[in-house]
Amino acid sequence: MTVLGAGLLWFGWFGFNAGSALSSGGLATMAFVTTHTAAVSATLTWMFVEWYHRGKPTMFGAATGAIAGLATITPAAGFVGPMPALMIGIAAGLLCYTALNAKTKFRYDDSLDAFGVHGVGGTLGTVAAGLFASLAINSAGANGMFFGNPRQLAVQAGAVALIALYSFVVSLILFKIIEKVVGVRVDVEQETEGIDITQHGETGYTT
Amino acid sequence: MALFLFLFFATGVAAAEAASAAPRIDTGDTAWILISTALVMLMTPGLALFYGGMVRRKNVLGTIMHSFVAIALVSVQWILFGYSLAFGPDINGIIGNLSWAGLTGVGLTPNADYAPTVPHLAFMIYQAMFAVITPALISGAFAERIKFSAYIIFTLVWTTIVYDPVAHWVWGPAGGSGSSACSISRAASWSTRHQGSPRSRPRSTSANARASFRNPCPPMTFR
Repeated sequence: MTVLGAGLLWFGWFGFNAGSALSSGGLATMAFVTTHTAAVSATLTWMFVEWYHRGKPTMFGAATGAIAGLATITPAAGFVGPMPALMIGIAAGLLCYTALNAKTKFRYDDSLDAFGVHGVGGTLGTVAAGLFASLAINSAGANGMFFGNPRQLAVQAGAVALIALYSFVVSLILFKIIEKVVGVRVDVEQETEGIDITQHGETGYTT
Repeated sequence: MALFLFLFFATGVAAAEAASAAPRIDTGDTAWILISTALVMLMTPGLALFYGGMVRRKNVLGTIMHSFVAIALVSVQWILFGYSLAFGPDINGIIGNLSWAGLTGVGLTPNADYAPTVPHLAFMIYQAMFAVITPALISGAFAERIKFSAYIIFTLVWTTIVYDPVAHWVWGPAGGSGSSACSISRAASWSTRHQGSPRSRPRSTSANARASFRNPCPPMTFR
């Protein structure tokens, strides 16, 4: 089920990135190609890193690696070429794998690693766009640091920090308010019994 | 006869000039955007399966439902007022106003600020799919934990007070002062993430947006 979902996400991601050119043509093609390139390089990176680190490569790891690659290339797709995309994919595999393993160390709860994959990947990709972006790829964009414009890296990093801060603070306040009004978390018994039956009164599987 | 010919050409030229000045719908671009919209829509059920496969069997349906419900909930929010807040006429660079609420004035004529070659409505529905998948992505952080009622409230309010203004800063009319120069690249991918709370306490959480996939446009100003 997870792999089917990852496949559908991958498929849909072409619309996500290549559609963002808002026209059909060269830029959409470039975004399409870089999206796929980063996804495959992150998949391979994750698989080999996990093989080395845990001793065995898992299907779950390969699927998560693909999503990490896709999430990471997204800010940069349409601004970078295929070879930078390959490197961004490798960086995504390495960094997001590390982030997932750091979860236990920093003791934050994130049931399905949403932050580790998308938060870390998206931040990395936004910063990477500040490194690898090139006017030769998208004349409406900007050059990144590797193309002689280090200022763009600062712009990217500043933007990501500001939005992360805003989103963090407002979400925290929002959850505090919801906690007062209806409560956020199911209680321990309900969590043990499962949210299917306690929240929705149905079950996915018989037996 | 000469006069007739002159008039014929004169009107022809005038008509051609009017046509080039007015935004023109490009059929290839429109087809691509509509297909891309459908592709992005499919990501959310894909995400439901992706997350659904990771949780224990007693939580599979509830986890899938988080993503599925986001499609309906956020789409309605988007049509009623979300699109207007995110992409409508700017208020001090902070948020859009409500003059496009209920899609008032958002029709088939392209909006040159955003996508000059596709109907404005196509751009609107394409952006709707991004708004939809964002809270669905967040649900991965609190899967197996959250009350459904709390999820509904969170999704609706978060989309309104976090997603919409941030989308406005990054891709809206004030996002980046060179807005039309950047508009081609501005639409886009964007998602935010969430991390849950330390165990035991029934509270959460911190969200962490990662920003702006698509906009290394130089003047990405936040005012």
